[in-house]
Amino acid sequence: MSTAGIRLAAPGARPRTRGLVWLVARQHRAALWAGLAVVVAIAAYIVWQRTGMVGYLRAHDIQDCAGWKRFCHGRRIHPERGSDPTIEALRHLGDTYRAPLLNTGRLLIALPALIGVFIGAPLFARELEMGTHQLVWTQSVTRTRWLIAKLALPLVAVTAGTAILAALYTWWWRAARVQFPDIAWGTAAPFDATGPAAVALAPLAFFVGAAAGLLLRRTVPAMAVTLGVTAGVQYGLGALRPHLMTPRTIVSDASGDFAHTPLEIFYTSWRGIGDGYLTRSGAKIPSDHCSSAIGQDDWNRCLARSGATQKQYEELHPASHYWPMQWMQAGICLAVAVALAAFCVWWIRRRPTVKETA
Amino acid sequence: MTDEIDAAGALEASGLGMKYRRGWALRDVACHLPAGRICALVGPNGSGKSTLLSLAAGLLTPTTGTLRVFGRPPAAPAARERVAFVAQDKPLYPRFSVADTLRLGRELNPRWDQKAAERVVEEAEVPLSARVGSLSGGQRTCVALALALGKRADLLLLDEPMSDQDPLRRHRMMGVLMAEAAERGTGVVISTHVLAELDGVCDHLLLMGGGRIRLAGGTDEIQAAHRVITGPSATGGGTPAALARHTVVETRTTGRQLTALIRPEGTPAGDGWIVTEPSLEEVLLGYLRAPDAPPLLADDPRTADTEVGA
Repeated sequence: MSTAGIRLAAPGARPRTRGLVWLVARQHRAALWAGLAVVVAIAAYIVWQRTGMVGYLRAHDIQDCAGWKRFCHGRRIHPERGSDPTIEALRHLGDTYRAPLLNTGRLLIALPALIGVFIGAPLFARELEMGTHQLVWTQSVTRTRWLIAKLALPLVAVTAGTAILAALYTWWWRAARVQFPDIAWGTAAPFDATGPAAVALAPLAFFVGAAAGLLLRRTVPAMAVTLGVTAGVQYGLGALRPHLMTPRTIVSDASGDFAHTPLEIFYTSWRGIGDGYLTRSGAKIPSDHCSSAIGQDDWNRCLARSGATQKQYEELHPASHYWPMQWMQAGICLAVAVALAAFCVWWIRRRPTVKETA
Repeated sequence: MTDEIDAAGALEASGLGMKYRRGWALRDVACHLPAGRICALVGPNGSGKSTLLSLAAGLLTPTTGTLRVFGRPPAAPAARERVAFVAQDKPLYPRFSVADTLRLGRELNPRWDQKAAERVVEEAEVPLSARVGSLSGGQRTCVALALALGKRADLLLLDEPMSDQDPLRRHRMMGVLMAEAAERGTGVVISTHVLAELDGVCDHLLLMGGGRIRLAGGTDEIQAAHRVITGPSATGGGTPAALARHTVVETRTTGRQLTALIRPEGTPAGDGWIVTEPSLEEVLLGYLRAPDAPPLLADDPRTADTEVGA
């Protein structure tokens, strides 16, 4: 029945793109196919790797197991024994999948820069450089509509492509997280390669490139500036990330032992935000407070002078901070992206933009 | 309504000025081009021809003054539909095929005429499947012209469209262009420095120099307003008394004979002087050779009465 319906409704009515949509699609035809190939290739690799990894976990019955846990599916784990089968399986898992997992993440965090440099920057720069903007601006469409079409279509494409890859990588990462407790979730790979933060970086980098191209009017300088700005933004976001939320502070007992803190906190948190000693009144003395000390005696004297006791503290972001921080970073990126988009529209409307030729 | 706007003229400028960072490209330009005219825009390089055309195409915003096409600002959508522009360097997308380029015209212009555009391309013997980047300069110009003609505009602005054409194709393209213009009453402004190209084709003239308009009006009016007079040169140089009453554009002395291009005030006759009506090319050459000659603005409503009516 439905087949007949389609047949009836489709006498030569292959959907045809129109107007500016056709123009932008035609201009980016090659880039679209290339981008599609990249997405399919990386997606296939992630699915293949994850399937292999999950198969291995099942085969050795070590799903959700980790070296620091005492039990794995009811079996006692003996990390101190050399031949514990669970430990052996986990080690082999690490040997096989740790590098692919991290390297795929590193590849994904390079995608925003690639999007900005190769799709965003040439978008307007090439037209302004070659003068083809004059061709379009003298047809019967306004330059604002042209600008919006040029921005909207590639934006949808790069965001969709990035979203697919980020979703797949998040899916892989969530299956691997427990087994790789030493990969800090707050570092660029995986944080910038997973979740909404990964998706939001794509429009940001795209608009950085587009705005640079509009301002500089030259393709190669626009690409260089976009690369620099995108790298700077990602570095800056990494530096800002620990401060997005107040870290949780865990405190040792009077002798400096953290034994009463559940092991899970240490193995699922993003650690290394800060550590040091507490004074009697509970004030924090960061461990680098005495970093200029030479030798153990000097160090001890320095600590004693500052009133530090044996009681230690550590600041970390528990696993529960992952999603709020993801959304915060995504929000920042999207806000800047929207501002850049508004800037592009404002710029094209106010500028009598033509090369100064006589 | 359309007629009302057309009464305003295809192109109307007053006090028009355009300043780039390096200086003024146009200063205090006033002109009036009625709809449906074929206008030659002539002048040396850097005289402001391209700037004037870019302003009329809505690509530039004037620094001073106003410019209206069919009574509207050039960047207004209603004006854009009615004006087609071929820029001097003929920008086209090099990776598009000729067919794609024409499709661009079809997708972005409500009045698009595919047949008219294809006719131009066929006349120039450019295959529709060829990539624009692989075409010669002359062939690319033809594709740009096809795009402009297919737009079905009421005013074509063409910036040196024939400069890279071989003589045969130039002749053919002018033929197609003029046939279209005659058939539909389309106005054309065509900039050039090859004067012969436009002989017998244009009925309106704008001569530019140093960012100003030096000569403007119908070709017949301009021709009629000038005389070439030949006679004995004054002894000891200087302007002969016979020329004193008239506006002298240019004088040349060959031996004892003097030839002058003048705008006569009253009867230019005098004993021993031969008076002839110059060709349009002679007028243009006279003005080009004499950059300081006083301008004649026969199309400016403010000056038309005083300058030509006399």
